[in-house]
Amino acid sequence: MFEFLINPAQLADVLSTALRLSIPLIFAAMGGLLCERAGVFNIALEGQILFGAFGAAVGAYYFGSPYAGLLVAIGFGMLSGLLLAILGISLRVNQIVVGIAIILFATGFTSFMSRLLFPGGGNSLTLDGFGPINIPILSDIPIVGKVLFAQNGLVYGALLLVLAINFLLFRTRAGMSIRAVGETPSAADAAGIHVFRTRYACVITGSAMAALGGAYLVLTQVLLFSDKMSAGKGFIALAAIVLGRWQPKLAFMACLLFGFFDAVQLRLQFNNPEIPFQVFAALPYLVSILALVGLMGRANPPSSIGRPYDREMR
Amino acid sequence: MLHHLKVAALAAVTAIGTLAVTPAFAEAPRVAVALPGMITDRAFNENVYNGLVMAEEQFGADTAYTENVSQATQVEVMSDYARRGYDIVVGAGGEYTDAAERVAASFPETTVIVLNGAPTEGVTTINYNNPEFGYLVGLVAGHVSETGVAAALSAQEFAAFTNVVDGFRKGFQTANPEGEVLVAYTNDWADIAKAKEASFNLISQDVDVILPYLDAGWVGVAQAAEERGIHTVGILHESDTNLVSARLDFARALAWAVEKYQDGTLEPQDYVIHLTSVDQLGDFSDAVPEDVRARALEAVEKIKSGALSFDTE
Repeated sequence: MFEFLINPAQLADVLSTALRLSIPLIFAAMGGLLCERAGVFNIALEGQILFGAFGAAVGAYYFGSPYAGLLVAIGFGMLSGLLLAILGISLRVNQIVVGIAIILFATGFTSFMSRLLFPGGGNSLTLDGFGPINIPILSDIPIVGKVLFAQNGLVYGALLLVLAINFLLFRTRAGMSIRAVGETPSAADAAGIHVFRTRYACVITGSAMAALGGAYLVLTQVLLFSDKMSAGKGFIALAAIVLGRWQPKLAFMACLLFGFFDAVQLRLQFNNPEIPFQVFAALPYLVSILALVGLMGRANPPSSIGRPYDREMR
Repeated sequence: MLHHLKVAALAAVTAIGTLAVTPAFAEAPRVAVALPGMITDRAFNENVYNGLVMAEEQFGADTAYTENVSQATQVEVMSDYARRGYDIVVGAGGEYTDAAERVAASFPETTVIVLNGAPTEGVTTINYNNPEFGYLVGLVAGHVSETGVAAALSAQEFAAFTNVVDGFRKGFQTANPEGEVLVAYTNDWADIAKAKEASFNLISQDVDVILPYLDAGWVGVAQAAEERGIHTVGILHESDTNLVSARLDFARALAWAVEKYQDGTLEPQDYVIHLTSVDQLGDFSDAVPEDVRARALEAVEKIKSGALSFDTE
């Protein structure tokens, strides 16, 4: 049943699949985590992945370069973040409601616009994408080399992003401010931290990161745009944030866990046709529930998450 | 007297009007379709939509459609079309069977059609004989496959797919008695990236022909096949990686139903479409040798003559 864990070629295959499936989750989870650390719920991750995917396709199609795709994707992500920030921070609309609205808007907007902008529809495109970059020497290491050091630039980008977010939040003054704003905005305000400015910055940056997850799907995995191609990844990223207890490193591992079980699940089905495939499809969720109740301890969200700040409020 | 004349004139005008309207009504049926997905999926939904376009072009039908109709709104969407006077209301997919039964009961004047649906009282269901189509592409796949391992990939396990796979396996093993057919599910009809990863995994297990039964997800299968230099066969899609296709062509089925409605011969019953004509096949790829092509065409003849038949569940 688990022969593929012993056979080096097959193991490398499963692990690279796992990493590829978890990259969009990592981008989205890091983005969402940054927003939530600053005290803003970003339920809209799913929609922002979709915006990113759409932006990447538009940029790559009209400018003929994956780098342009990346920029347009970031632009779309920032715009959706700005929308979330204006409504959820300044106008104090319920952030959950705003998030859902953005998801619905993203679904309709991208599928409508892709019919207008791409002749024959988004899924008949073949865009220029990013190819794998083999890191010299390291990529020749058996198994690990193929999995970790023969990937495309966005994979390395996602891994660096985790380190960067972790560094930002826990090793810099700005990170301290972000966390303070997410915990007790009134105290942070009294200490001279710009609560609104910090939250705006985090939400816009975080949304751009989620959009990179979508850009990754388009520019490296499938090289086309199809309706609803985010396929629930934003929600799994939200789960990864909770599972990772709002810690970048743990959330990153949660993403890898989801990706790994997805990959193993695809693999186990083939070897065991007699077991219903739903059992394997449910595996990642089963593991995450087990992890939530037992292994990881209690989840402590930032204490003012989802509560718009109002200076006059007591 | 004058008054009587007026009434007579009015009656005459009405009669003429009715005469003028009735044939026009018969000539241009109004057809509406409720679709589970989007018409740009280059698979099932787009195929059904093309049937609507064919009905419009060939029979002058007045057509309408609604995309992304969820399970909860099926009855409402279909009833609305019936209420607005559409002659034919179509549910695209077996999941519309229950809704269609209710709509047919409430609107006896309306012809309710379900594509790929289980036979249902008061509803016209149109089905393909799935194993025949699976068999044909399996036969070709079995002759071309070098590793002797093929796979069928879908999102979920359901009867129509299982029937396709039964035929596919039978065809594959007719060509290669030692052959093996794997089955896998991605759990998502439209997730291209996941379908691609699933294909890579199949390929690393020696699979060299894949039969996708997906919506937009098939694109991922075709991409994986192209990148790794293996083949696909199509029953729902056309692509350059296909050895051949034997399509469950719902565009053709829908246009056929509209034509039959016009002739006044469409009944609320189950219709089964068989693979009996060579023009139901797509083009063979260059990878398919002449003798294999001949065997495929021979198989179509055998199905037509009844020498080859399949039981479905």
